[in-house]
Amino acid sequence: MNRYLPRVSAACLAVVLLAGCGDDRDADSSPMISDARPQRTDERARLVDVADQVGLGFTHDNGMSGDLYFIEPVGSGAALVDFDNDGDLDVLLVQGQRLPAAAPNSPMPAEPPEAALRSRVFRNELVHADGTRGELRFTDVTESSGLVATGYGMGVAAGDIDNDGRIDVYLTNFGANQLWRNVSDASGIRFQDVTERSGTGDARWSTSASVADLDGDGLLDLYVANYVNFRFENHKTCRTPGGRPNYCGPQSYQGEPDSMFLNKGELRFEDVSGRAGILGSPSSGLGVVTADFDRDGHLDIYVANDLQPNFLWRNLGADTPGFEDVALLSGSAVAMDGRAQASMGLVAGDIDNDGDDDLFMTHLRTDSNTLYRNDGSAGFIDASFTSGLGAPSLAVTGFGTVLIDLDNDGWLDIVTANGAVAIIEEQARQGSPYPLAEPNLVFYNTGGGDFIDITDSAGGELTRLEVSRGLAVGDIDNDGRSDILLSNNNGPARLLMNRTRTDHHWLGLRLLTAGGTRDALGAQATVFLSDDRRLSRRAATDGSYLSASDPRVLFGLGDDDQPVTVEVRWPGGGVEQWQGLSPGRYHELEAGTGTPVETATR
Amino acid sequence: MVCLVAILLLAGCGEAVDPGPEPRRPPGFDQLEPAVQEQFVELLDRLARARADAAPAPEMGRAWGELGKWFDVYRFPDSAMHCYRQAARLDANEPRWSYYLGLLAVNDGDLDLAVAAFETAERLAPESIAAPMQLAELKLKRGQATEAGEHYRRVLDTEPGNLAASLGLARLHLQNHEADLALELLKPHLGDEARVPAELRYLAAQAHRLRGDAELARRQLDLLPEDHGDRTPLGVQDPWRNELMAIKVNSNHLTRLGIRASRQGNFRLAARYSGRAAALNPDNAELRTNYAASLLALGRAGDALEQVDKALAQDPNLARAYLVKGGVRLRLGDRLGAREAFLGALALDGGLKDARRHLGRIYQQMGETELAIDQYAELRKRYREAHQARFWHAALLASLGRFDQAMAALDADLEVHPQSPLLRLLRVRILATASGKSSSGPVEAAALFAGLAPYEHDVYSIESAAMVAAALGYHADAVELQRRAIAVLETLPEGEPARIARRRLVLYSEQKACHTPWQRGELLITKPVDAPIGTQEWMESPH
Repeated sequence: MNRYLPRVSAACLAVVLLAGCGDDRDADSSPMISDARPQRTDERARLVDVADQVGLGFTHDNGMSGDLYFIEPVGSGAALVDFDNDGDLDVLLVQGQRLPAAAPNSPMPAEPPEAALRSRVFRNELVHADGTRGELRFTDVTESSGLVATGYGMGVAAGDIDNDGRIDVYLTNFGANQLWRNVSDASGIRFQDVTERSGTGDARWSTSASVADLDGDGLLDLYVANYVNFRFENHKTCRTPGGRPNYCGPQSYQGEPDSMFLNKGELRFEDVSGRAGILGSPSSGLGVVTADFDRDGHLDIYVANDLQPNFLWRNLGADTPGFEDVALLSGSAVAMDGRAQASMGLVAGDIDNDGDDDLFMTHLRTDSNTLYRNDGSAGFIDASFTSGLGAPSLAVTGFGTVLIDLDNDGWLDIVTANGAVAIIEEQARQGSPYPLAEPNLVFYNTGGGDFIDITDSAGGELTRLEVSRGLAVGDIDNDGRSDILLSNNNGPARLLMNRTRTDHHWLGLRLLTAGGTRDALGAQATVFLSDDRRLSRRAATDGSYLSASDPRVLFGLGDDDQPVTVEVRWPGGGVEQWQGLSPGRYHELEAGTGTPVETATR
Repeated sequence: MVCLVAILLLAGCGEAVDPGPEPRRPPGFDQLEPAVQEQFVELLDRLARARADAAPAPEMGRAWGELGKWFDVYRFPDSAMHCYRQAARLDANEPRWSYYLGLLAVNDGDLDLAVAAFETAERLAPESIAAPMQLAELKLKRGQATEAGEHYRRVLDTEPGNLAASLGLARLHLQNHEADLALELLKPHLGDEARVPAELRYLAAQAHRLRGDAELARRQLDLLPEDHGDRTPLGVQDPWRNELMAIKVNSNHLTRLGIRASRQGNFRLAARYSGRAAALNPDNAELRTNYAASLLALGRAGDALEQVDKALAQDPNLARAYLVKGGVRLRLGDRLGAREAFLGALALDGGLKDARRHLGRIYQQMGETELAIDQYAELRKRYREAHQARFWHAALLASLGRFDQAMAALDADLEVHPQSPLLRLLRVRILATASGKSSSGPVEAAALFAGLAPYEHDVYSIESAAMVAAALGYHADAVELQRRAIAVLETLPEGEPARIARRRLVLYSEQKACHTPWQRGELLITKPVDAPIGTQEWMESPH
């Protein structure tokens, strides 16, 4: 293990976790968090906002100056990642910045450094240094962390780019992006700016990014979605059909091609956008996710473009990645009626438990969210309406979205973060200064990828009218139930703890590369249940919208409480199996320590 | 006493009409365009008169309905729904009010209300296919495939061969993985190649894919127009909706119509729309600039200049107006005036790509090569996809004899655009002609050229081939290739490229090679030549 910190051993971790989430499921796992509301009989899940109680005080400022700059309603994202390797998830929240008023050639206003808004890092105090469990509490460690992110922040991507066991972060901005190397040590969370050295400081308006090993060389690469060529100099005053000033849409500006940076080691990256074949496709990227959609052993890239056909970059598998856009042929570029949708956030995961990664993405109000079901070879069928996911989304504009098994029944549920981009009449009439607020949505998977809208019963925070954007998912209190971090545009961040009461069992995995160096992003784990069902989940931090999630994999096992067999398909090839893994705890699985499986099971 | 009379009168006239609550002004009314405001005031007056005159219910309903349409098209959906509800109540035999209410209810996510509204519209207008089409789409959205299918079939019963309904049914079949049934529905509409809508082609492609025939799927997709994703789905086109949209007088709408007309090459219609938008909003400099651009496209440069000057008087900071003015000046042959205008545009917005491109070209024409290089360098820095600018940047550096700089820039550019024939051929030229330091240059150039096969059959390629042949000592081949290039260049109005080509021919005839890969004043001519370049001896075994 190439670790710099004394880590909580797997056994110890299991004790900690079991203590918090044993059979006593009705007892809340943290004394700080209480939800006295009795569970409704029809309640399938419950999410409770505890941000204020646990010290996660953060309010996003979009800097709006009254000029309706296009960037204002777009950001920002959030990350749920264990930065200090102490066994619990820390938080990074991306901040906006003040904007110039009225003058077309004004630069961003110069702020004294201490006054400038900046993205913030919060350390989770749940697990103590000695491995014992404390209470869920966050401490703002931005100042001591050295992370000085004072650009107009958009998103965050996470992954251990230097293979030193610490998860680094890439911050996308309206302006130059930043790569922050995680140099945390026993004294706390620390970051070092390696943007210049790495050559990844793309100055265009970047949105979501993905960290993944695209060329299979063991080093994590970067795919960065870029949006449009808006700048303050070319700011346009867009208008409603009646002529009232309104936010512009992406058609008002030229789209930008995305960027691909290959990791060459030593914290140096090479921009291979041209060679990889993506440079000739300018569009309006907002979301990106990497997954092996055609199960050929190479990570493919799916990009959600705003009002343009989406990309499915199939990895051709050469040493230097070459990619081919197969979205249109695969049936995943446009909706079934042939129309490009305003795709924002997206997720890839096995929604129908058939062993491959499906795609779900969010769209504008009056359009529906879209579910593309994968046929196993990256051929998709638009199942938005047959799945029950389409109709409830017509009234909202979706951004962040995560797959989360809320009640650990083995079926992935979906949460979407919503907030309009065009003025909502009734809110404007009532004098709202920012009339874009909408409720979020929770969809419960009733099995087989059929969904029902359970927002109203899942917790009051989700129906609160806010302008929501980013969503990250992860088990924040290590109780075996996935929680959610929600970022709001020009509003407070919400920490939505999963307080679903259920008797279902679970299994947590941390999939690591050989030697336990880092999270094996892109690895696909399959759990074989006693009723012959197979559940497949992918280790990833990407997806959603502008956000980065917990790379650990959490399986809801339903009623299955027996030790299970797990098969892992590692990125770059190789399948291994582990048997007899006990439910109710996390396990670390390192590549090379399992039993090799000759033929990959699909 | 008065009350009693009123009561008696009302009793005598039948049931009293509840005119509904007072309509409200929309939020931000003062910010609406003048023409839109006027339209609202007229509609409000009409309703007020109906209320004051205690007009019959249908008339009052129509007044509410017309006001609802105003709210609807200018995106005040809450108010529009309120108006349509009143209209449907009072003008109960008119199907459109329920129909419009249903459309808004779908957007609002209130699908129960939408179903009820469309069913009312269908009952009131059984001969119309609009409501059943919407009901079909709505049932599809609700995942009620069987019912959706029934509605589509009802449309087909009324209007056999209705394309939108056929497509709807095909979508249902595709969702059920019934590709053969989907294709059966689509095939009758796939006959006329030129008129096939993009949506139909896309669905046919998906049906072929699901049947496992990727080749046929690709063939359909290859025929999709470039902007296929922008098309409005056929399912939502209907006469009632068109009637609704027809009341729009806002500049956005007119501008959109103008842009559409312009894209279709109908500049006269484009000028009419943009002119109307400008006339309705005479203080709006952006709309006036659009009008000027349309006039310029129509060839009316003088009128365009008048409009753009007015726009600049209204808003001296409008960069796009300077851009259009530059275009007008160019059309008028006033290169200096154009240069000033483009510089003005860039001073306000350094990212105006077209202004910079024009400026680079103007500097080239004026012989200000260094300044042209600056513009192309800026384009190269700002826009990675700008491979034309990259070409000119390197070509002009080469024309000044700065070969090392040109090669360094080209090497970087080829990293970004490795397949660009423009850049690769320029590299071939520099290696062939300007590599005095290295005797292997021409051989390397020949190998690179051979790697470009199959060659583009154009003047630029064939002149490049001639340069390589001459550099390798194959002067006869060079002469032959150069003559073929000249034959095309002599048909062009520009004389300089032909003159440069003839000078090169003289060199090759004298058994000499070129020493300048690109000359000042040379143009990039990609006009096809008479026949393919073909494989030549110097390509296969250069020495």
